[in-house]
Amino acid sequence: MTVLQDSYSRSTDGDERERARCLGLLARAPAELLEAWAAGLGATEFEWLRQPEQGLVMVQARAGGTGERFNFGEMTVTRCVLRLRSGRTGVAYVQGRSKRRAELAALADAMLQDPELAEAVRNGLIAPVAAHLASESERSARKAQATKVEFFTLAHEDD
Amino acid sequence: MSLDLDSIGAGFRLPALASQQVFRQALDAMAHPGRIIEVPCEADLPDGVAPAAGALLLSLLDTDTSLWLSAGLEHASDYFRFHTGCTSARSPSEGSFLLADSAQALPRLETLAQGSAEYPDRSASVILQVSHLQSRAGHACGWRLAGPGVLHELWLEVDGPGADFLEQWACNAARFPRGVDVFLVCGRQMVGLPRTTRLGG
Repeated sequence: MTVLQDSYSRSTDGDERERARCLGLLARAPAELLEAWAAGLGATEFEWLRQPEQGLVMVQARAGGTGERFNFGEMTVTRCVLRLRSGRTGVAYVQGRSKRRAELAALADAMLQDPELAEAVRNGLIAPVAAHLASESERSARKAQATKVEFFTLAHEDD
Repeated sequence: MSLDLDSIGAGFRLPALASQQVFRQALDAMAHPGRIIEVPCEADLPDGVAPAAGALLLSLLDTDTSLWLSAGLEHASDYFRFHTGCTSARSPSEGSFLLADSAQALPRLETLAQGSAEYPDRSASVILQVSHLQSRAGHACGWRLAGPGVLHELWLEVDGPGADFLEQWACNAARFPRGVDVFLVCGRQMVGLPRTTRLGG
């Protein structure tokens, strides 16, 4: 996992950055959106290069985004690699233990590399997932905002 | 180090079951030196890697091991790194496993990791591909095997490693309990030569 991330974040290649963005979205995509996309897909033949397997990944963080790196905690990750009939290879690392989500995410990644299929996957899956994740993060930000305490007012009363 | 996935073939279809089966066979091979064992392998291996050698490596390699490949097989490095998580050894002495496509391509045994007196298990395991393997009981030809695990007279016919290999093997045995272990493979066939086995002409 670190290998992929490192090579993408250091890369100046726009295609690779776009793929990293899509892989990041697919990693967090909810099962319902993936299944809805897959339902309209029909039968797609592929072979496994690496069957879905579950494991732990150490997540690192920096306090305040600038401090020293520390191990934040382990998270469960399911990963797999598959190859389509056309020879395109798709990889997936997804949160949680769902092998099905990993399979669909890898399928989407493989199709995104095929110029003929990429547009349909972008419209049918990537865009809805991006919109869903954006609204989720906005919702949780709004919820957090509502609990904000104005210490400023308290300080005033003491005067 | 990144790797190009497009050139990599499939590994074991059922990794857990297949590697257990091959591991059991590797144990049998080491417990019965000279016995020829047929190894099943349905993996889509890189060119030049014998099925038995590929199956052994897919079963034995993991993230704690490193693999050295002879010059003719260096293209197989990505395949084994992807499927097993092993690292590539920069020199033969760093490899915990070595795969050579011929006896000529194999570094001298004394240059490989020998383990220590406290940890003889930290030595290298060598997989050597040969062009012919045949084992015969009571029929004098090729190498005569003796040592633990060989009850009766056993002869092994091998094409590839010459007299030079026998000399290196004698020195290897002299370092016991240190020393390397060897698997000879030919196609799907595998023969174990643990460091305790004595080879004679």
